[in-house]
Amino acid sequence: MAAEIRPEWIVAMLATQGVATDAARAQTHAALLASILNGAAPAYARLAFEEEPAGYTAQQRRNAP
Amino acid sequence: MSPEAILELSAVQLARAIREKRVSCVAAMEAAIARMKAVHPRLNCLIRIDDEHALAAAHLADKDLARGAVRGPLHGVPMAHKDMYYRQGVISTCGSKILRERPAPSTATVLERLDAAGSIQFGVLNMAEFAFGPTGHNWHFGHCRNVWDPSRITGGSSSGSGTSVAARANFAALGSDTGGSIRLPAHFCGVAGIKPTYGRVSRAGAMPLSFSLDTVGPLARTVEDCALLLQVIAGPDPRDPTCDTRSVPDYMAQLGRPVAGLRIGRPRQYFYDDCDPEIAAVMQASLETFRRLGATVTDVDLPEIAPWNAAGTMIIFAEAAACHGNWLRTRPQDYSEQVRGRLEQGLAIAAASYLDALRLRGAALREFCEQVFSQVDLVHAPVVSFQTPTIAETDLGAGPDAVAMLGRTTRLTRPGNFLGVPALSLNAGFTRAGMPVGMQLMARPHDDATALRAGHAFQGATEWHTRVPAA
Repeated sequence: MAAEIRPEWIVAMLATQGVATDAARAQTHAALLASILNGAAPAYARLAFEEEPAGYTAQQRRNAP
Repeated sequence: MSPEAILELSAVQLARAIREKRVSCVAAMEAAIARMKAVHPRLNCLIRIDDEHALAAAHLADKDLARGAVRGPLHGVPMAHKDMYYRQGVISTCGSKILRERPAPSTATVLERLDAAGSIQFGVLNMAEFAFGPTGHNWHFGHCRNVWDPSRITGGSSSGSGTSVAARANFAALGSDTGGSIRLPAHFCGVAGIKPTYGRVSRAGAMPLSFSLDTVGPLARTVEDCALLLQVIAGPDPRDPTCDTRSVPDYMAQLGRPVAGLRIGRPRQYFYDDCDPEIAAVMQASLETFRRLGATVTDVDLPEIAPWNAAGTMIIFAEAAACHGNWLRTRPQDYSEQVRGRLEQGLAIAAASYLDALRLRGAALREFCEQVFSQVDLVHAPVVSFQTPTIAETDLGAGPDAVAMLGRTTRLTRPGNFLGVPALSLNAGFTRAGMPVGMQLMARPHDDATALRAGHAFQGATEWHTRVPAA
């Protein structure tokens, strides 16, 4: 199911971090964040339980010539 | 040699001419400074020129040479760099208002290495604010302009690097590439640029944008110049814990190896979606050149790229927001509207989503190498899929249209950053409107040498890189 992000959530989330944004910007932010969260979701769903960020470095070394 | 003749030399050719005492360091520096001052009013490529200091350094370099002391392979070669490489005590604006008065806390390892190789820095170049923009717009220092048509974008964020090198006002320049910021200006301005393997070049003393994705690399007139600069700046650095510890191959020596037998892959998916027909035709012609050189060109199936781009965007935005959090709280008005908006988006990314993006990188690289680099040595693709827009067309502020345009601009370059693979961009032809078109050559991790070898062979067989924009 596609994630929905409401602009007012963005405003609140930024406010908790001490950053003020306005409604128009929050609307744009919400649309972008929903787009990238939904875009990445299929790949995240296939991630193995054990996968961790350091796996990248290991793969980089393994695949070097 | 006349100033005009000096400025026609590549960095490698100039270094040789200086060593052979056919050109003095002072003559080269005077020519570069004069050209830079002449083109800057039209291109807005410069943030600061240090002419007195640079000329004094050039005099010293000539004295060294007279007593037989060659500092290194770039002895006396003038260069100006993107204004995000620190020199201790000197201001690096990073294209921003916020850092306009802050002396840099340390000197970048890459500058120390270029200094040791004999290069002389004569200025710092315009760039996107905090390197967070792919078009070349800068609302603090003015938008950078493309030397092939000053109404059009240079690409960014290494905007001044691309256009000053193309204008023959700079022999080579450092850029940085987090989402395409070396390859995009190389494409739009018709020069060569390499985004090295992530970790190949030290980031110490370079402005951070996204520490998991930032790479430092050169833009230059030729691939051979890129190889020499990468040779100089690459290698382990205890000041950068992400820097790889393996030794640096001899890129220059490997340029001479033939490309016959190299396997080049043309992606069946993603990279040609909605591609402008003229750009697709240039790509096809460049693949024909590789075939004539003896390479094998085959179509390859790619894994699904789009989710990786979404994940890569999360990494850039979240890490940039973390770096800028304090200023976002205390000086939000000092950012441009666009950069402030993008940083705010990063603050709203959930920690688990960001970590999933980092967890995905290893799996993505494994999948890409197994599926693609098991069949080919290089992936050949366009850098962007559309013709060079004007500065006005892309001056869209921070709203939804800007978000769409920025995403479209980096759509073909971000995969290289997410995977961390080396990607070389070089001019492959021109549109009917006279604007350059670049191709990118992506290789497996730490195989920067193969991308450089193929690009060098292409330039040996074609003359696109020798075209000079109108004065």
